[in-house]
Amino acid sequence: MKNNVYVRSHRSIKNISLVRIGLLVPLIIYGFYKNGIYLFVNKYATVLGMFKPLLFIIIGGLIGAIINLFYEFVIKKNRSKLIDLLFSSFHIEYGMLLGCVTSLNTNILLFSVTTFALLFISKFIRKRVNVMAIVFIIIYVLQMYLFKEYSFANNYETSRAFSLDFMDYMVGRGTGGIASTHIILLIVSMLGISVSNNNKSYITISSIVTAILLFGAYSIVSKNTLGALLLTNNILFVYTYIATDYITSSYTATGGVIFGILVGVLTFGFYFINPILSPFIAVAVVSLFNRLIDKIANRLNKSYV
Amino acid sequence: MKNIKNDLINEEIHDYLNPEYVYIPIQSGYELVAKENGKVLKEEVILTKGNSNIYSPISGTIVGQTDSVLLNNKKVKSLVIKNDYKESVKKNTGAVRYISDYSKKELISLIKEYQASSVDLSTDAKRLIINGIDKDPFEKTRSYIIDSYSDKILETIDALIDVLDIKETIFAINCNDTDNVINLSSHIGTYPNIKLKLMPDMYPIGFKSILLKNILSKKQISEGVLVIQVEDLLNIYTVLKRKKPILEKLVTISGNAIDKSMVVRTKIGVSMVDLIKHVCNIKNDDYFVVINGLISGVTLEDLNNLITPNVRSIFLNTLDKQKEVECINCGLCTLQCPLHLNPKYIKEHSKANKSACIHCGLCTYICPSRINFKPYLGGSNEE
Repeated sequence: MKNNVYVRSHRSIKNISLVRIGLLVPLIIYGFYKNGIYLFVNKYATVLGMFKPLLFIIIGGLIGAIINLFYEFVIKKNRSKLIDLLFSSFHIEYGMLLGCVTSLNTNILLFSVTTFALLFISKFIRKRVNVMAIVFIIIYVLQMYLFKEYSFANNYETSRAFSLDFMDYMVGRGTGGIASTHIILLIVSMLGISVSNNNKSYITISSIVTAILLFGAYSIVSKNTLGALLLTNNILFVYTYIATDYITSSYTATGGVIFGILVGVLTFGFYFINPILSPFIAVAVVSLFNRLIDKIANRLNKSYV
Repeated sequence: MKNIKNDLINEEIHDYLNPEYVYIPIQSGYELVAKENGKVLKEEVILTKGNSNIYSPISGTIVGQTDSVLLNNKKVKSLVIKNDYKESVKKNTGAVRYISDYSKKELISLIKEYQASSVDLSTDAKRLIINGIDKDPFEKTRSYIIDSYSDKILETIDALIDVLDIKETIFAINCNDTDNVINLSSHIGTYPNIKLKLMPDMYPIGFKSILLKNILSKKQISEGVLVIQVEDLLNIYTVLKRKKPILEKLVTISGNAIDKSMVVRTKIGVSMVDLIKHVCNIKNDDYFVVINGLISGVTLEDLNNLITPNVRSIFLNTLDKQKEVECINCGLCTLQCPLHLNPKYIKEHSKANKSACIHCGLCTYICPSRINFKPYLGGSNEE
C-alpha cells in the first residue's frame, strides 16, 4: 500500500511513436511530392509509381502492426484494447522509419519480406542490437546481390546531371529517398521531437557534432563538400531517428554522448568502405555495446554508486 | 517535469467549521487537564505536557475516550468532544497592534508554545525563503492560502524580517498561479524588503530542497537559510497577533473517486470520514485515501484518520491499473530526476546510492513502461 501508484503521465509507447511519426509527416509529404507527384506530372512515373514512396512507409507500418498484433494476441494471449496491442512495442515506428530510409528503387517484395522476417524475429531475441539498422543492411545487401544496384536517385534525377551545393540539399533539391531529401524539414522534425522530449537528443547532437568535425576535416583535404558528405546517405536521419531508438541506445546522458560520438566516428570510418551503409553499420555496431556504455557512464557518475 | 495538469475547479473556499465531534489524540506524556463529561470552551487547554498544550478547537462536552480513530494510520486513544455549536471562548485576549514589536525571544517562545511552526527560528540565518508553491501539482492549498490571506502573510514576513534581522527575503510562488501573481505584485510594493520570485510551473519545485536549489547558489545555502511555508506563516500570524492556538487549517480535497474537488477550511481533530461526508459525494467505492499529494503522498488505511496540522490534502483516488511492461530504456527517469539520481540503475543494483532521494515520485509518474520505482528507492521524505 505504501508504494501504490495513483496517477501517471500520458507518456507511453503509443504516445512516443505517434509524436515521432507525426513530426515526420511534412518530410513524408515533401518526399511524396518530389519522388512521386513531380515524377508523375513530368511523365517519369506511372500512377502506381507515383505512390511508391508512400508504399514503403505504409507497408513498413502495416508489417509492424501485424507483428505486434500477432505477437500480443496469439502468442502472449493479451486481450487488451486493439490500440494497446498495436502499440505494444515500437515495431510500427520501426517499419515506417525503414520505409523512409529505403531507396525508392528497392524491390517492394524484397523490402516487405525482409522487413517482416527480421522484425518478427526481433520480437523473440533479447540481444539488444538496433533492428532497423540490421534490416536496412540486409535489404541493401540482398538488393545489391539480386539486382546489382542500389541508388537513392529517382527516374528524373538519374536522367540528368546535377551540381548541387549546400543549400540545394537543405531546401530539398538533393537526391535521396524520403529521409534525406529535405534537410530543413528534417531539422524541424528533429527540433520537434527533442523539444517534446520524445528523442534522446544527446545522442543526435553528439553524433552530428562528431560527424561535422570529422567530415569537415575530410572535406578540407578532399574534393568533396561538407554538404555532399553529411547531408546525403540518410546520415542526419539515422542520427535523429534510427540511432536514438529507445530500446537499443544508451539511456543516460553521459552514455548517450559516448554513444553518439562512437556512432559519428564509426560512420566516418565506414564511409570509406560503403557510404550508403556507413551510418547503419555504425549504429548497429555501437548499439551492441549500449549496455556497456551505460555501465561505464554510471561508473563515471559517482553519485550513482 | 512541466505542466502536470490538475482538475481542481477555481472556487471559493468551503467551510466545515462546525463538526459534530472532534477527536483529540492523547499522545504519550500528555496529561488530561479538562474533566471527562465536563464542558470545554474553544481554545481551552485540555491536554498538557510541560510548556506544550493542546487546545480544544470547539466548545462543547467531553463525552469520553475512544480508540476507534486513527492518527497517521496508528490507533491512538482520543478524547471525544461533542460540539455545542456555540463557539464559546474562555476569554478574548484581544489583538496585538504591531506584531513586529515582539523580541526574538518572545516570538520564538510564542511560536513554540502554540506550535505554530516546526521551523527552527533561533538560527542566525540571514536569508528567508517563503515557499508559496504547492508541493503536489494536484494540491491547491498554498495557492488558496496566499489568495485569501496575502495581507496577513506579507505582514508576518515583514515582522519576521525585523525581529529575526533577516537581510534577504524571497517569496517564491508558481508563475502560472496568475491570481496570486497579480495579487502579490500589487501589494508587495508596500514591503520593499520582500522580493517576489516567480518559479516555473514544474514538479517537484514545491519541495524545500528543490526550491532552494532553484533560488540560491550552493554557497548561499551553506551560509544558512530559513525556509517557511505559507501555511506556517498564517499560523505564526494567528499566534503573534491574537495569541491564540492553531485550531483550523485549509485542506485540499480531490481525487477521481469523489464528485468535486475543493479547498476546505476545517477544524484540526475532525475525522476525515465526517469531513468528506459533509463536503462531497463518493462516486466510486474502490478508492484509496492518500494524504499530502497524489504523486508523492502517503496512503492511509482508511478515512477513519484525523485531520492533523500536517495534513495539506486528502485524495480519494483509485489505483492506476496500467500494466507494467519491460523497460524501454528511454532514460526519462534519469533525465527528469530533480536530484540527478538514476532510478533505473537503483532498481537494478540494490547497493546503489539512493540516500539522496526525496520520494517525489516523478520517476514513477513519468515512466512510459509503467514501472513503479517506489519500492526500490531509499532516502527519506522531507515530511
